[in-house]
Amino acid sequence: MSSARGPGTPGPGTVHGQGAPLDAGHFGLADQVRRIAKVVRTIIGAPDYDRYLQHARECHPGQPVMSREEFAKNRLEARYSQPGNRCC
Amino acid sequence: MPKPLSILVWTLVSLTGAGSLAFMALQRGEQVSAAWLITAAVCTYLVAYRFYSRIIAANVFALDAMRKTPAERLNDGRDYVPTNRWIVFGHHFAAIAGPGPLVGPTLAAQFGFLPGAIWIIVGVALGGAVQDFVILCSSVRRNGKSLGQMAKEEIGPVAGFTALIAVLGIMIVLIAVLALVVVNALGESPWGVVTVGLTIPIALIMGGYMRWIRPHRVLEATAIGLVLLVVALYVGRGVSESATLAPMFTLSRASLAIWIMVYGFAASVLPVWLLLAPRDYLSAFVKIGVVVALAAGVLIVLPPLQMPAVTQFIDGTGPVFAGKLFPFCFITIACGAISGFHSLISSGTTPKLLEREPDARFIGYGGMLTESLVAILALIAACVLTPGEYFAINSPAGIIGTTPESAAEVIRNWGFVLDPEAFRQLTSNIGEERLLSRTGGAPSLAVGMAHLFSNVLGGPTALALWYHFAIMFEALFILTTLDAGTRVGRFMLQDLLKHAWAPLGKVSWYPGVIITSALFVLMWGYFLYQGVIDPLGGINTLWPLFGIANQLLAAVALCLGTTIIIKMGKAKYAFLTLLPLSWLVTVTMTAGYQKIFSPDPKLGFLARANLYDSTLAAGNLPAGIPSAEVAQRFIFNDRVDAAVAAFFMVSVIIILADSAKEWWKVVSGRMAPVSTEHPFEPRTAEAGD
Repeated sequence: MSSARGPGTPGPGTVHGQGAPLDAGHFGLADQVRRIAKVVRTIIGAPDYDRYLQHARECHPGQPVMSREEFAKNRLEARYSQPGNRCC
Repeated sequence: MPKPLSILVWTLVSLTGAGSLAFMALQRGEQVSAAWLITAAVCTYLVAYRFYSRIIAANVFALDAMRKTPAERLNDGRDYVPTNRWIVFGHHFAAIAGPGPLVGPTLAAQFGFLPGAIWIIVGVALGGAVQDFVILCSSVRRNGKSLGQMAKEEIGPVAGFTALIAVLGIMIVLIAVLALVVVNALGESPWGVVTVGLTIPIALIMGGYMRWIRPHRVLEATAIGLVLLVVALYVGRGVSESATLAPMFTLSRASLAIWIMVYGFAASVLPVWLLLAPRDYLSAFVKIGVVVALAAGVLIVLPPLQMPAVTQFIDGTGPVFAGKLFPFCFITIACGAISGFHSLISSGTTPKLLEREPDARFIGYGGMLTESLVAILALIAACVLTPGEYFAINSPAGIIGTTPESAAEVIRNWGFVLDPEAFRQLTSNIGEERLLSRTGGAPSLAVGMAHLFSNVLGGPTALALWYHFAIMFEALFILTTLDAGTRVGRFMLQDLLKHAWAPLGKVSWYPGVIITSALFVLMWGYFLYQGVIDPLGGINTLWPLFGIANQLLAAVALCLGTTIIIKMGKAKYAFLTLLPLSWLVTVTMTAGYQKIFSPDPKLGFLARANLYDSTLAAGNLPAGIPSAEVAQRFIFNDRVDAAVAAFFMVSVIIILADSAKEWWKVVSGRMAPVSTEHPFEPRTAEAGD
């Protein structure tokens, strides 16, 4: 079931299940757990503040960012206000 | 793989699939193992994925790994985020899979296992997966636009508006029928009421934990929630065994219906972090866990299918729902074969997460194939029951009476066997007072799953726990669809009503929120309540209405898909969407017409209203109706139902006519085929390589 994929490594703010930054030597158990937790959070649709923060820092430096509370509120309101999230 | 080997492998897969299907179809009078059904399904999925979806990926959209996706171009760290395809797959699957693929196949088992199985397998390969995949690709190429926006821009404003109203109508019927399934499963069941009721305080505890104790620790809170769910299961058992507490939690179906409406209203007006979000996290876990457990249970036990391949009820006389095999098998099973609702998800969150275009094939087409497999598993679980047990649980009391003896008598006349004593034993083994006429599909599925699970773990003594575990998660799925759906419905209503009175559109104006929430709850509550008091059980009426509505939305999505394919200048590939579209239009139109105009009062809304009318006029009361007042209410309800069915049919015709006009413009050469896709942007070194 494989499809053609482009070459290269993920860009900034990319969510990757396995093998995100390989340079820092993230191979410890704690890192593995953290990585799995991140995958699970994305699947169940929980807001990912760290990802947002990383994106904001890399792509919009110097601009104001939402606090963790504001971000969570913003994400949850968006998630439960339009069809497209849930099916029968 | 070298070419000759590849040809050999795919020939073998195709032959195995076709052989299994043929074996099942030709086997008469003997029980067939579930293994054949699973083999037929999986082989068909593999072949369809490898060959059929390739046409859409390569020839229609020419998906390109070097073309930037909206997630990459518009990355904002919030909605648009390039995400690993396995994670998107999990996310997409958790969003599309719900109670639909579990309940529909269970109900359709009244025709035997074969008609439902063939529709699920063939329908998904040529219909459902095509729809999901085409809409996903269309949305990815248009910056993740929604179905409604695309319908408006590609087909026209009339189609766009009709689609919007249709979505609202479908949500009303969907929520009503799902709520009815829960009411039927929990009515007069203290164990079920307590266990499912406790999931609400559990969600509140999780919400509070994530807010005040350990802010934003979603996984910790969910872990606590999962442990508390198990506690709730045992508390429910304790209550059901207590002589003083059990009667307090033995609720009638009518009062349960009211409680569910109160719950829907609360979910719509309370802050999301408190109730909706925690429930959703919990439900997503339970959903994936249960699907895996169901698959494991079926694969380990490989049960024989007790239900015959085809029953005599294909002639339309079945007790579970009225109507012949055609068109009602294809209405009853929507999710699992083709579900219009998926088009909202394929044009919702998912297209904004795709990292590479070719991933759409795995997520759109592959995700739907996976849901189809869940529907096959549910069908197997329902067919683990003997036909006697299945019909005793799924037939309304108006048909089989209220004792196992009366049910056994009726069921014997149908040619199946039910031992009243054994059925009493089964009822007490699963920890219930009543199992007879628990219509709606959820209880019979739960009995089937409890059989499977207790076979693997715990033995016969664990039957009651497994049954209530199954009921709990089915109710959890359904209530999560119900609460989120009510909230979304409230927003859609606010959006529509602001044209009548502007303040109603403001989401921050609390009276507006209260009014529109109450209005939306009353809309689905009306259908729910009429289902609860219906002597034929309500599922009979509401499930076909929901099926018609859902297939209507699929028709809208396929009209849109066809329009997009033709406007891309690829009219010769329009058969991909035209094939399922023409089938769905035939099915929904026939079913809608029969539900409205059939002279059989069991099937036709107007025929039943007229029958009641004339019975009352003659000075008598219709069978099963306590008073003239109630009869009047039924007459009114039936006419409302007929109007709703007519509304759905008219919507299909409007959108189809509007689309056909666009197709003709392009095909006849009066309009040049112009694609409205976002122009190609190559992925560059700066973009992450």
